[in-house]
Amino acid sequence: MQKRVAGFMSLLMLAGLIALPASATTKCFPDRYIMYEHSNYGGHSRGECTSEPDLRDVEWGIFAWEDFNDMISSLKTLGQYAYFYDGANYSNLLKYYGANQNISFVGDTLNDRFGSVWNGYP
Amino acid sequence: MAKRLTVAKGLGLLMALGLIALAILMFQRPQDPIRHTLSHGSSLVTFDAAGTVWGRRSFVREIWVAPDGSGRIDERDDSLTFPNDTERAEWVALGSPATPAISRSFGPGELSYVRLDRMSRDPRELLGDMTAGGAKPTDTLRMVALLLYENVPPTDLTHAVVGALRQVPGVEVEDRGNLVIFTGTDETSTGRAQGRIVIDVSTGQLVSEERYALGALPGLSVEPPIVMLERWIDATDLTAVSRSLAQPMGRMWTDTFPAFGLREKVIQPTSGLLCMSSRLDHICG
Repeated sequence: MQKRVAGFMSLLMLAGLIALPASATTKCFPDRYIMYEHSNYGGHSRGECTSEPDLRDVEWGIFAWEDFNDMISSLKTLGQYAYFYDGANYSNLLKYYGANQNISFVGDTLNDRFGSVWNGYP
Repeated sequence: MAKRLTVAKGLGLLMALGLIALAILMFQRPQDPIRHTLSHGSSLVTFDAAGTVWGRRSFVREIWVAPDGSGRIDERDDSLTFPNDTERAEWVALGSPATPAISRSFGPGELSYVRLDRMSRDPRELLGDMTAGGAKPTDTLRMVALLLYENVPPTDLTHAVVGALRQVPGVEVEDRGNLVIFTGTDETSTGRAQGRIVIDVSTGQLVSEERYALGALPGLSVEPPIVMLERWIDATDLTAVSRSLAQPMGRMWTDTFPAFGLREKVIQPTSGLLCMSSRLDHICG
């Protein structure tokens, strides 16, 4: 049964209908910022150490639509600052966060709004 | 008998070759173009953790993206302005955080290249996606603008999107020749907001996007309506454009952010349209 499910998943991946979790290829160490689905560092989370031009590619599940785009409510920056943008490819800067900040809630105007992240100084 | 077998083998081989050729043709994709977009605009930025220290960042932005995710972003005329001295002093107290303009090249995979060819062209299906999860009109307009901005969608996709947007409850539609103006107003967690996008159906391109706060924003001593975001597409191309040609054209500031009421005149190089924007007045013609 497991094999059949794996086979089906491979077929879907080949068809381009789902993508592998980004962690399979992009995980690095140490994390420079951590993003969370909910306020107070709750829900799905993910640590990153590089800039992300499109948070649609940063997934928390196995399906392509389970991603961090328009989903971040709280975050931490570790050692470096980060710029958060509205759209993909760093378009429309929304927010600057300094290094070593714990943001338990990004605020009503920015909640579920981020589409890309620049880590460090552009 | 042997001859018949040889002929059969030959036919089989030919059929196999034919099938392989067919498979290659079926899976061969046309060469994806480099996408180029020149745009300009301004948006509000907050700097402190509580989101109460505000500035306005203006920009001219140019991006080239190749299908492999490599490319270049050039942002110019980046400037940061404040509505009053108090707001500026608060920004200085935070260490004067920069809002840097990006000007650099990116290697393969460092930029996003969205595959628009896989999207549905069925307006009913797109409508379902747009309104999924009880999305409000301003959310829907933002979602569409983020899809069309810098992605240079094919005309048939834009037509399907426009067809779907016309059916979204709460979104007002105004047709002005080739331009279709969509406006949505609703209550958000921070108060009443309005979004507006303009699409040129003759080219299939997004012309502009505007977002307004219709109520006061926390920590910002400016009378609403407040321009949260305003951006204009000046030129797009599906192929690489000579950088010497891709200069801001016909752009003229008539006033510099008077009390955040952005006013400017823009001549769209692609369509020759004269557009004016002043708070909630937006005229192209």
